[in-house]
Amino acid sequence: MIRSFSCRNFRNVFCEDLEFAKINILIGANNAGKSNFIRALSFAANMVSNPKTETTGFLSELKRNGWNTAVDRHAHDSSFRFVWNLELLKGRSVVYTLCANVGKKREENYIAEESLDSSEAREGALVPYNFFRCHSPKSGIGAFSTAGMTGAKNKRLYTDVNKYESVLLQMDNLFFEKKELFSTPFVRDEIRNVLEAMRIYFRSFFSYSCTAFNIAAIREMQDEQADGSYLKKDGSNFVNVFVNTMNMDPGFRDKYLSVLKKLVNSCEDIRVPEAGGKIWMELKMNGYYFPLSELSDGTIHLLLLLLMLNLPEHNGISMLAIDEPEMNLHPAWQKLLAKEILRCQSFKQCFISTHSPDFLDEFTDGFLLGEVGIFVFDPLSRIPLRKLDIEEMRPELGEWTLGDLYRIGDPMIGGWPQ
Amino acid sequence: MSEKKRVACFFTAGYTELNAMKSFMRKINDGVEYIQLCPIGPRKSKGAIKDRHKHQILKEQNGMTGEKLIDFAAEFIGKKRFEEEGYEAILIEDDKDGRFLSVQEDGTGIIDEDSWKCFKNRVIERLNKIRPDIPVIFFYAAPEIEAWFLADWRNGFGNVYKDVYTVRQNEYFSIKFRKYVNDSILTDTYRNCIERYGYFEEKYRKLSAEIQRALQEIDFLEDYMPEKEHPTISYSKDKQGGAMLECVNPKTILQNCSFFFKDGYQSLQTL
Repeated sequence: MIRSFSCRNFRNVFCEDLEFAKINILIGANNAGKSNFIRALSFAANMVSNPKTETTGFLSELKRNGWNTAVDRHAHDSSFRFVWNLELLKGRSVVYTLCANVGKKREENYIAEESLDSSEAREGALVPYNFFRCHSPKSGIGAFSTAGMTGAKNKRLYTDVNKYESVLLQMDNLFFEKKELFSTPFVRDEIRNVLEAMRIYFRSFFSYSCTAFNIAAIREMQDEQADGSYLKKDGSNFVNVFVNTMNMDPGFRDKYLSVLKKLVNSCEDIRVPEAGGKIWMELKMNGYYFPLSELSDGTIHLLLLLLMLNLPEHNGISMLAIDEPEMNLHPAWQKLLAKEILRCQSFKQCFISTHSPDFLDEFTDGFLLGEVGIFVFDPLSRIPLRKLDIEEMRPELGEWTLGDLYRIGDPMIGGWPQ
Repeated sequence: MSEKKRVACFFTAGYTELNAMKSFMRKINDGVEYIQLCPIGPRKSKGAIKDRHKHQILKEQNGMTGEKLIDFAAEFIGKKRFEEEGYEAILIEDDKDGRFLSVQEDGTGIIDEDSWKCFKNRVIERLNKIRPDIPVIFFYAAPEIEAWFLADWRNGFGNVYKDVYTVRQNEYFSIKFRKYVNDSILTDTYRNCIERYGYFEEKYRKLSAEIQRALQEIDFLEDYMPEKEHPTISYSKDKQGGAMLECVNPKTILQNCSFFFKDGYQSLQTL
């Protein structure tokens, strides 16, 4: 998971070593920067996972973010910087830094610095261990450690590195084309393994906006052969994902149904009939089967959200971001959905942005226990992105919930939009 | 990030949701960033307040007025959050109501300047104990914010119903209602010194209540056209108050509200 994150100059996002919990709730007025924050957090993941529309993954992601409009218009320079403090598998923690220079001309858009460090200094060392550093101080040159320790035994290996692509994506080229890298055991094994773990981690980032779900497409019958390995952003392959998950995990359907019944008491069964190469989903309620085409938008939203939250753990969602899950949901369902998120094991970490006090209410206890992070976006504040401090909020939440304060624009929770 | 001076504002008014008070303040001094720190309503858990009437009063007053407002401000400025935000002044906005008036022998009120100064000094001392030397601006509407809307009639009550009435209807209404306000609500006693308004035969009348009652009970277009041909109107601080605050001119108000309003106006201008 992401232990902490720093961002400078990317759109209107600024934060320094912002620490996260497993569940992180983002609140704030419209246009305050919540979606930009998710974009910033997901930059490396999108760079690694999304299809290329430019010559490299880095340039493709920069293009998706508007090239030079990705930089904060109030910034004094034309670069933005991200630092992810990541906890990868097997207790390994690293700090990944990516700094990009942007401009109006194509050649002005490149990686100005990319580095990977251990998250803590080893015993006896003053600074964290650096695996590699590219383009700084010299653009186009990468320096790789050759031993797992600081000092004379760790000779740095210098080689050409493409400044228009991340090391995460040119790793294979670097290690197999550059003999000096490939022949160095530490680089070949250790650094490459860490980079591979990071790629796997970033490829399991999924972010969804409930406003982007294409309900009409979801309601239609789906091609049986369509890809069901992960849910598309518009949710259109929902039924395929459901079937795929059922096939991989025999217990999934019953588990899903039992969770659904908590919210929709009248739901008795789910089935996915097929005919002529097409599949569709039907819910049995009060003795009758209803296809998705006869269910409300809110019910379909709920089905999608419950799918995301009940995927088997081995699906390995490293980060799940959901924008406004409360959309179209009755307050009672919002509360139950929040409880489901608290219980969920399908993701390692989630970021949820919400405008709903009813939804927010349910995270009060988790927040006070330190299990849920609450982040307030307030562009007028000196600290435009602030993590709520538990001890500062504890007296305020004695008899109130987070939703009570949010509903009235209490200044302790960000105030009323201004 | 803005480089304007940041002022911590404690606006009591229920139309805070519309940010109308901030717009108004900007007309007086646009070189300041006003950060509203009062919530839009009192804290309450759902179901905690069952009496709707009580809820409405609380909503209009924001649950914080008078000493409660000062208590809230004092509590908030003591928090770490206040220091982090770098506020350079505190602004308190409230309705004066019947405070800071002395009742004369004839049962009418005059401004008690000493009690006003005493109040301000007490509040400044209390707040400066927590945040030394931070300027405190008192923006008190006397007796209530409706005084401002009467003081700038053309942009206040003379204008606020123009979307409901036709132009002719509004002109007629404006003349009739203004005459009623001057003759029957303010009377000769307070017509030219609205900030003293309130006491009649030693009993206090709330200006906003008088205006609401008048608009509910009297059809000012009765002589102009039959009832069914013109819409009915009402007055609420939230709806019409917010709209008027966006339109009224502080300089015009200053001509008619030359004590309490002037105090706040000058303090804000020189910030």
